[in-house]
Amino acid sequence: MNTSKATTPHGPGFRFIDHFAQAQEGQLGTAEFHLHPDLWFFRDHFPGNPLMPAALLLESAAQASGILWMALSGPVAEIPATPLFVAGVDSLRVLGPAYPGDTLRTSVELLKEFGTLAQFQVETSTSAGVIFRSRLTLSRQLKG
Amino acid sequence: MDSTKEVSIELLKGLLVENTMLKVDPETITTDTILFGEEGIGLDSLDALQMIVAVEKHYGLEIKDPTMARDALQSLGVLRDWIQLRLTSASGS
Repeated sequence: MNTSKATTPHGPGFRFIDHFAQAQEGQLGTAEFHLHPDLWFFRDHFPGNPLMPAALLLESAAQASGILWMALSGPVAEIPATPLFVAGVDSLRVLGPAYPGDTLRTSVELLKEFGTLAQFQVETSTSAGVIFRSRLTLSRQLKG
Repeated sequence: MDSTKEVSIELLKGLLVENTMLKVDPETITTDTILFGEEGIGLDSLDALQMIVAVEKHYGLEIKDPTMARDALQSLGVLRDWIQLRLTSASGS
């Protein structure tokens, strides 16, 4: 595995990956994100019962997919820092909660690259087991 | 690759219904209905990707690039013929 500190085009307040490791073989990678109890969304989601919103689990999985796509596209230094966009989400299942103090581990596999689109299978776990699974599609362009 | 798999318009229409965001009644889609673009029923590139993945998974046939996809996915009839040709070639008959 090639492990690296995760880089995405997002600002620090909207980056949900700490580290990313690309497998030596295949089109696979694993991302980690530690859910620090002081993260902004825990305060209001929900007051007194904090857990990570499912929409942000999806965002974290999308960021992991984007990092993998970029990594498979060539050396990071040669890739323009263009944002990627979520174009589609299929077969999404939320299977459990993610609490403050948990560490998300997201495995991602590139299923198919097609023009400006790429489709990924993602699965996120905590120490309690698999909590999120989906197939999602990223695009290099915003659809107008 | 399984050359004995059924390749029918009804089965391909099922894949279309299951994997794309159809804006028309599936009953109105015939063998020759154009699938993509303004002259067709308006499927887009994301729908194309979904169909490609579905065809690859179901028939074990790889659609390598957008040009090949454009050729294969013109209509259900063209797709049926495209799949049958490749399955027949693969089985050596």
